[in-house]
Amino acid sequence: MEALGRGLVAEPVLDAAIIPGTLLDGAGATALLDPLMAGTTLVALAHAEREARYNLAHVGTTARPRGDTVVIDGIKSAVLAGGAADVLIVSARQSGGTRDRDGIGFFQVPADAPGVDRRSYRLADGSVAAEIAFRGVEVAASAQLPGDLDSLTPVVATARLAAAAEMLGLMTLLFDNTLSYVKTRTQFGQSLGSFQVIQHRMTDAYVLVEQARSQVVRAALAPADDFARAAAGAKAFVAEAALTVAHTAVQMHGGMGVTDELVIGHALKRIRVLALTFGDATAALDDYRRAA
Amino acid sequence: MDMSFSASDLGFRDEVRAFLAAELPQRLRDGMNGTPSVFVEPEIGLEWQRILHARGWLAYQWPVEHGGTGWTPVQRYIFEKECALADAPSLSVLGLKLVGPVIAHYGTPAQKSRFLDRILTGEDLWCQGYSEPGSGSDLASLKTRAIRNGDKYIVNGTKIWTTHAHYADWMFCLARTDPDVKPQAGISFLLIDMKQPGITIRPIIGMAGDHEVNQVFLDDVEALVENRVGEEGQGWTIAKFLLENERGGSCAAPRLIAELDRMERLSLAQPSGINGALGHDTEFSRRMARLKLEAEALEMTELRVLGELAQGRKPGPQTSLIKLVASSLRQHIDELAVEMFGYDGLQLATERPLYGNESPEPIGSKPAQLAMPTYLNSRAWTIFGGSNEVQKNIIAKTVLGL
Repeated sequence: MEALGRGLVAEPVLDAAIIPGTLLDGAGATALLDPLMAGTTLVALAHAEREARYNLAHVGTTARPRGDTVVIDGIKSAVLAGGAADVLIVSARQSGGTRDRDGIGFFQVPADAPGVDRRSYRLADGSVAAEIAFRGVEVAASAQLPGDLDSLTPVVATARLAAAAEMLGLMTLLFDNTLSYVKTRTQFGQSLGSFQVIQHRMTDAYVLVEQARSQVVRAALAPADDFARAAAGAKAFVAEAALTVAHTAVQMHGGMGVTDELVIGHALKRIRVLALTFGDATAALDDYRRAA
Repeated sequence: MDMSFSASDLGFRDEVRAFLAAELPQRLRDGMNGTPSVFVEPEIGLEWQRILHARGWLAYQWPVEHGGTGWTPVQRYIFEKECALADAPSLSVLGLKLVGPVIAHYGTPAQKSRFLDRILTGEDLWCQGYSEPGSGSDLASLKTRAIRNGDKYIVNGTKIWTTHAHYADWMFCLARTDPDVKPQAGISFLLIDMKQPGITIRPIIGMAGDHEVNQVFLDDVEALVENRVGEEGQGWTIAKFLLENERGGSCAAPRLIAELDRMERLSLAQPSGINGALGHDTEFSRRMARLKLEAEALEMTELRVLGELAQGRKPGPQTSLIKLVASSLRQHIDELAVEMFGYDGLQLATERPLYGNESPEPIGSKPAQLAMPTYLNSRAWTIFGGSNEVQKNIIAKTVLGL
C-alpha cells in the first residue's frame, strides 16, 4: 500500500479488494471471494449511512424476513467503488434499535437487483462513490453472510492500516518532491531551501514522515490481539500528519501548489479521502483510547 | 459591535440593510454562496456592480472627486459587514480596489478620464500583470521587458497567476524599463490593452477544477507611453501602494464571521451519529468557538486600523498582520467545513457553475457539495498577494525592527 501511495496509483485497491475481501474472507464466503480475487467481479461494501456519521453501529437500513427471502430497505451513502460494483455487501438491521451493536447482518445483493437505485458521484481524488437506495430489495435468505457487526472489526483494522500505509507513501512522495523543489527554486538570488524558515518547515515535515513510518511499522507488527487498537492509533496519527505535510507541500510550492498540474494537489486530495477511511482521525482516536 | 456606533452610524446601517433587502436579487446571493473559488464570475459580480453604481455606492474606496462616497471608515465597515451578512457577491478587486485607486492617485488627467469611469460601469475589466514564473515572492526580480520605441513601449515576457485574464480588456503590468539600475528602480507601471496581437492566454486549472487564473504570454505587445502610470522607474513604489491596498483597506472579518454563523447553523442539523447534532459535540463546538474568537479579534483589529485611518494615517504594515490572520483563519474555517460534512464533504463535482438551474445535484446538501472545492481553493489564500512567509518578513523588518 505504501508503494501505491508513493506512485499516486488511482486504483480502488482498498475499496474494491481489501475491504470487501477481508469481510468475505472472515465470513468464509469463498464463492464470491474467488471472483473478487480474480478481478472478474467487483464487490463493494455498503455500510455507511448519512445519519450514522462515523458510528459503525448506527444502521437504519432494515432486513425483514419474507418466507425464505429477506427484504432490504434503506439508503447507504459514501459507498466507495460503489458506482461500478457488480455485487454489494449491504449491512442491514434485523433486530434492535438503530444504534444497537447487536442485530446487524450483512447481505450479498447484486447491484442490478430490482429496487437498487444507485447515484454515482466523484470524490476529491477522482474516484467514483455512490449513494445507493434499497427499496424493497428481495434476496434469498442464503444471501446473508455469517457474522454480525463484530465481523467488521478485522475489516476496519485492516483497512485502517492499509489507508495509513498509503498515506505514508503519499507523504514521502510529497516530501521528496517538495525537498527537491525548495533546493532548486531560487528567489532573492538564493534557493528557497537556504531560508531558515523553510528549513524548519521541511524539518517538521521530515519528523512527521519518520514518525508516521514508525506508527505504520508498529501497527503492522502488532500481535493479533492488539491489532485493531494499533491500526486505529496508526491511522489517527498518520492521517493528521499526512494532512499537515500535504498543506506544507502546497504552501512551499506557492502558486504551482494549488494547481491541478502537479502531483502535490492530487496527493492532498487522495489523503483527504484516505483520512476518512472508516471515520476521521477523531473516530480512530476514540477506538484507540477505548480499547486501551 | 453595535455598542460603539453613533446614532447616525446606526441610521446608516439601517439604510444599507433596507437597500440590500430591496435591491440585492436572490440570484446573486445564490451565485455568491454557490461559488467555491476566490472570485465570483463576472456574470454575478458585474450585475451587483451595476446595482451598486446606480445607487452611488460602488466606489467607496475611491476619492470623492472620482466617484467615491466620502464615507467614514466606520461607514465603510458597516457597509461591508451588512453586505457580508446579506450574502452580497464580493466585488472584483482588480479594477475597483487595485488599479482604480492607483490611477486616481498617480494617473494623469487623461488617464483618469479615460479609465476610471469605465471601471465603475464595468465596461473595462482588468487583470494584474505582477507575478512571473521566476518571480513570485521575489517580485522585484521580474523579467518582463519594456523597450521604448517612440510613443510606445514594446513589451515581451510572461505573467502568471493572472486572475480573470480570460475576461480582461486591460492589464496593469509591471515591466522592466531599465535593466541597468538596481532591480526595484528599473520597473515601470504600464497599462496594456489585452485585445491586441501578441497576447496569448493559457488557462491554469486549480486543484478543485476551477479556472480563475492564467499564464499570459506577451510577445511584442504594445503599450502607449501615455498609458504609463507615474514616471518611468516609479513602478515599484506604485506596486507597493497597490499591494498594501490589496492586503488591507477592507474588512475580512465580517465575511468570516458570517461564514462561521452559517456553519454553526448547519452543524446543528448535522448528525453526530452518537447523540444529537454535531453542533452540540464538545470537540466540534470547541473548535468552532476557537475560530470564532479569532474572527472576533480580527474584527476588532480591523476596526482599530480603521480608527487610525480615520485620523489620516496611511495603511501600513498592519495590512500584513490582517492578511496573515485572515488568510489562515479562512483556511481553518474551510477545513472545518469539509470535516463537518463527514463523508459528504469528500464530493468534488467537476461541473461549473455550482449555482443556477444547470448545476449538478448535490450529494446530501448544497453546502456539502461546496465544502471540498472551497477548501481546496482556499489553500491559495496564504500564497497570493504576498505569501504568509513574505508577510512575516515584512512585519519582522518594518514593525519589529529585526
